[in-house]
Amino acid sequence: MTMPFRNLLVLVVSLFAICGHAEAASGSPWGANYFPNLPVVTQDGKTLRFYDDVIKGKQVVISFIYTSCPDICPLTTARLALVKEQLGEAMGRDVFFVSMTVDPENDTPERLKAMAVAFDTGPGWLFLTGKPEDIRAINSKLGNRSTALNEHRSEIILGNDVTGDWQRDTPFGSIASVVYNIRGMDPKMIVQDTSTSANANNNPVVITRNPGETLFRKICTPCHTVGVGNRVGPDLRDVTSRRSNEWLTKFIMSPGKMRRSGDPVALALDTKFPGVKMPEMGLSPNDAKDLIDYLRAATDRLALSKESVSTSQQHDHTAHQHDNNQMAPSN
Amino acid sequence: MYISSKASRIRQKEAQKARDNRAEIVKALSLGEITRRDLFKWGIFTGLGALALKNGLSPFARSAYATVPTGTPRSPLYGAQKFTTQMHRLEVQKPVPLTRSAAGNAVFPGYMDERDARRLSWHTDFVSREATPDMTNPLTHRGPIEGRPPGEVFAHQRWDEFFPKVGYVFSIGECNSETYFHEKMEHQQANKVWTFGSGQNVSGHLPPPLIKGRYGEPMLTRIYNNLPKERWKNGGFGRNEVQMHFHNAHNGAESDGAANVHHFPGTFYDYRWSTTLARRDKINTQATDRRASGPLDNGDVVNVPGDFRELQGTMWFHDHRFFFTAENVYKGMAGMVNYYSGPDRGSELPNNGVNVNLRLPSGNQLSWGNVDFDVNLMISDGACDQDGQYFFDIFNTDGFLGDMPLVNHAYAPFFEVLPRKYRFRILPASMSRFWKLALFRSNGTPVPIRQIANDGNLLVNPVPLTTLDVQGIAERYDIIVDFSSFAVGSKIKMANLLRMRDDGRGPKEVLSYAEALKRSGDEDPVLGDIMEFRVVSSVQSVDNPNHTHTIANACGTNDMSQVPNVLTEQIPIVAPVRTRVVEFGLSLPGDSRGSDGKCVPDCPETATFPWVIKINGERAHSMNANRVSMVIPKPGEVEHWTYVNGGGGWDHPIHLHFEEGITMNRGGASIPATERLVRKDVWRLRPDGRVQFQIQFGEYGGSYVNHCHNTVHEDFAMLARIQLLNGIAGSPQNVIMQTPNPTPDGIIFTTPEVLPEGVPSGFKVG
Repeated sequence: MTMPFRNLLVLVVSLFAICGHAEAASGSPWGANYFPNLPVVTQDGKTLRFYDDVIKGKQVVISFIYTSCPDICPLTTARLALVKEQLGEAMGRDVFFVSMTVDPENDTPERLKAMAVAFDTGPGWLFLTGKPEDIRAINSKLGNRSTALNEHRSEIILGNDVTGDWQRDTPFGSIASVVYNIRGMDPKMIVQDTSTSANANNNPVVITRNPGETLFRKICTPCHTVGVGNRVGPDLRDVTSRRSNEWLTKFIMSPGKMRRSGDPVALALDTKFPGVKMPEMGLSPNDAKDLIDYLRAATDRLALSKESVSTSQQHDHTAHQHDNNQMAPSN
Repeated sequence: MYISSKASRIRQKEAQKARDNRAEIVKALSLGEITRRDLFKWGIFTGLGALALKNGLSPFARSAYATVPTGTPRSPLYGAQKFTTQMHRLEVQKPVPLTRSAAGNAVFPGYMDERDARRLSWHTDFVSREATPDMTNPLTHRGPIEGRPPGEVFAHQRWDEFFPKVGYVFSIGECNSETYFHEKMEHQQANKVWTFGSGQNVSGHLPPPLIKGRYGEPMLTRIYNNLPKERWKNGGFGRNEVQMHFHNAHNGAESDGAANVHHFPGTFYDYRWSTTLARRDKINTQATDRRASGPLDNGDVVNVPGDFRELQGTMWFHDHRFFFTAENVYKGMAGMVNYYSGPDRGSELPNNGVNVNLRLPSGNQLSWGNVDFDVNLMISDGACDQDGQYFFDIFNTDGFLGDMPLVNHAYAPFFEVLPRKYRFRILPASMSRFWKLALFRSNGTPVPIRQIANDGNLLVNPVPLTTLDVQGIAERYDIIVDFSSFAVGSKIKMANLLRMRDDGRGPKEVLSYAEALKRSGDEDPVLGDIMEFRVVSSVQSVDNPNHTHTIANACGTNDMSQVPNVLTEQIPIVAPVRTRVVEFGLSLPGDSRGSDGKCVPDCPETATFPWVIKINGERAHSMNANRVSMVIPKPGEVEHWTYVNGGGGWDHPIHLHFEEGITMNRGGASIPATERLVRKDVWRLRPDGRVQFQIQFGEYGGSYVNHCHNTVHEDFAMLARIQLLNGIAGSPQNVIMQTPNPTPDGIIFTTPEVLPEGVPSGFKVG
């Protein structure tokens, strides 16, 4: 009854131009004369020129991160990883992701590499650091002008240097809409068929009364699954049996505090999933309870379904992906 | 940090030169004409490889940059002094009569060559099997001709009941060649200012439009998007996709212009501006109260159902394209609407029969809607690049501050007034700047002001003031100024006393007039005087161009206007059906502080994440989502909402669409008389502040939003979608609707996220 994202994606056909090495459209103030051409270092230790090698002639999606971020930045990257998968072959061919550190003093290429690996970012996605003053100069031009790490921009920037067309977007809304906006940077994009849309709004939205499920879809699914397999973070099937209620509550509410207090399980998770840390989501005790209730129920449901069990054993990440992206309540 | 007035010309040149030089060096370097070693030798590159932070080379050298305007050198003024150009009045729009066809469509006069306006969007036809070529966008030959989404959900609600009697046809287009802020300044290029023009697919022009609406006369406003189809032909800012939001008019969601329904070049969108008086279905349903009425041409009134205490006056409309609202409004996509009613009819003469006319200052040449002595002032702060062309820094999300005070888009203008009472309708249409306005005599003493309305809602009693309360974007204050004690030749200044934070994130402090004047030269030209009133002995009427108002015929005993001590009645605060508490940026137990109370790596001082919401005191839930539906299950239920700013230093102007709330309290903090128990649609939350208000919804259903008017915040967490259900079984407005996503090829619908914490307990849908 709902319209999953993949349906939208099928409608979107992109006829990407071969970008070549054209510079920003003449007349646009946001080109070579605007972006600093300073050296930056990738997660692989390679030095690039920011404008010439990263921006020039490309369509880019820029985000701001720092690897020690305790709260929402990992979620930005995790949600962009979902966007990346939706982009498919266009990723690294037509569209390039750029994650700029806002903490160049501490974010070495090695730390960025670990983060890239943790989120399975693949080709076409650069994590950039460099000399602090260079990075700050670049970030300032990109609109990240705050001096405090936690005030960095949580939005993303979409830009097409060929047309000189730049815009803001958010990874926290609908993934489908971000994918559409990214593809829309190419002026040649067409949406193949909207004829079904006339009837689409005849389907009313049904509200789930399960707050845990909604919360899980919104903030957990970028990294976690239930009964599919480890992804960015551990699969959470049976987690309500593996861990005590008290431990789960504490960890969901403040994983950082658990790590700092030397909790052995929290530290073991750090070791097992290097390069990424469970973020502080600012959740209340009620939120934690809702999530735990949801995870218990989801695990119970899986136990009743043999089919799901076999899927789980295959650790088939990709097959699960689309369902995972469907953020809307499914009845 | 800023350029002092003395050094300014040199510094400004430096800043521009820095930009040019740097670009040249970067270019020379990339072409191999010079090497990095050369640059090191010249001391231009630092040892770390960055361009040295030196004046003349790096635009990051802060000394070469003024704080105001943000991110660019001072705007060149070409010798223009303040108060040397006349203020333009907003351009009054002429409506055309609409007739009803047999099929129930609204028909424009034949000479206009306009297709009918329909209840269902033309998009509905476009996607049907019977679609004909004339339903396709004629510019791109892709997508529908009308941007309004297809189907019943976006059909005009209560179409027959509010069948449009008059029509307006506008285009949003590139400005014409006669667009400038002052006679001495550069004429703006077509791609720098995008604004309204009257008619189908015409170019835009200044000054901005003024529509005179009246209760009992529904309007159909058709807006063509006549912008370039290539979206990068925007002069560096602005998006060629528009949706026109009629700020807080009581309209169906399909005409609210904020439901993610922007439309593309070549297409139009029909907004039905219903002039519905709120509580129509609940109070005065038989239309027996003469105060709930609209003005007729014959001097009488026509009664309408609804609550006269909810009559609206000073309104505005502006683009609401998500993520581009700031750019587009700055670029010129805004206009004003004065709603006229029986009590506030824009005439100083008593009306026929039982008199309900308040006779506020306005004029007497027309039977209603006089603007001779009732003046709209749209205030903003602009900036120009070194070519004198309008400029906006699209990468600035903290807050863009301009350095040119603009009133109705004229640079610090003067305005001639007679020595009599005037009404001014002040609208801050700025992006990030907050204002604190006052009027001063030439000796520096303040001129008394009476505030009569807030956000378009009459105060119960006029409030005497010497300075207005702080005013954020979209907050409309109507004031009365009596110039009758001034001699002809007197000059009175309107001044801004509010100093902004350097980063543009909010107000810093209120200055004395003397201090504001001083800083105006050095620091921020939008401080201190921003416009001048000149007392003269005669003015030409705009309501009747053949008439001249003079001291003899319009002042003294011939000033027929009144400012009654009672303007309306108070809506009482009652026990609510439910309460909702929304807290922004609160540090919950799960924050990042360690056991030592310190944060790793630093404390989130201003995070707007997460929100929590509690309904009826139930347990708190996080609203970690950018699109949260707050479901309003049925019309007419009184709710009390509290907004809490737990997030530190930011000042969030919270804007609620569609309905006004009655401001109850600000927690323990003081509340000005112009706000206490006053109906508003934008509240400044104040740093660490809170506000509680009473609200009820009615008459229409659909999807509205509730958001922070700081566009940065709007984008992440601070936007909630409100779903109003109209309570009519089987109606498309009685279910939660899918989200429309406009594309150049038509609308695609997706499923919104509905968080249950927005849904009152025990309530089920579907």
